[in-house]
Amino acid sequence: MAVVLVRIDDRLIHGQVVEGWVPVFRVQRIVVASEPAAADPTYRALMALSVPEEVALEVLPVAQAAKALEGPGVAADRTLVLVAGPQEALALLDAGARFDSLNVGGLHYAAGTLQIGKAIFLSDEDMRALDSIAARGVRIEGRAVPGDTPVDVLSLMRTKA
Amino acid sequence: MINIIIITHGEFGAYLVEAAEGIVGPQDGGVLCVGISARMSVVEVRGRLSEALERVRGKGEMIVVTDMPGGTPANVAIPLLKDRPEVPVISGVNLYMLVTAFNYRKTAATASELAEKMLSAGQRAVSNIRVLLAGRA
Repeated sequence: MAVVLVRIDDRLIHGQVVEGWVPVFRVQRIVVASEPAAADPTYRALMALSVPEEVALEVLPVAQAAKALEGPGVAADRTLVLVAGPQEALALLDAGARFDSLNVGGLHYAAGTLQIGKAIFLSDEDMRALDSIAARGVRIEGRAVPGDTPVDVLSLMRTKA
Repeated sequence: MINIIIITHGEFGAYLVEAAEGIVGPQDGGVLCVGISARMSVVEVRGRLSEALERVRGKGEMIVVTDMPGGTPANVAIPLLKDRPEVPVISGVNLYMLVTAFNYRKTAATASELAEKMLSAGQRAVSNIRVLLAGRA
């Protein structure tokens, strides 16, 4: 497999992903790991419309997504993996996916969350999940688009919490 | 790096730049906006645009982008650029067109190559999404 980026973004596929990350990382395949998106045909069709024709798109439940990233027969295409939140990223690791860095791109405001970046707001549950992810040796950076300066999510989380 | 000068009715252009930078990241220089208001005379509009053109003089190629054909921004731009036939003047600016401009202004070899990309993206963005979705959902 050739996972070039694993990104947390509660908007999944949108402008920043399609116009920002896909060209810069020369992405050939996008795997969206999300139970609600996989179960919603309209949402899947909208995402398919947003992705450039030459980029393959798979929208799968987390466990299936993990399988689509690992093992024999999995294409070596430059792959971008999208999940909606830290819990899904952790579930992806639990399901057997392997990655050593994680981009936190967009987790928008909700009541009771802690702001650690322009569009990064974390709940207690998010922070616990990120801690578990980091404990498995995954580097975590916060950045909306490739041109932004990455922020150290974990240390900000600890100093602000 | 190709310069982009955006001239629009009101502050439409400046807001589009802000939105496009939110999608593909901040642009370091070479993007200028001129917003015209009903209180400005044509002379004043011409002055503002000349100033913007002056600021990028000698700093590489440029593209002038306006909002609609036949509007004052376009009507002022065309005569000002009558001796610069190599400068594309594109109307109908939209967010997708501008995002495309920002994505390719560093790597496009020429202004006309970038203009082609902007035109095709800008035209693609104008669609009835329900028609595009038909048969897919």
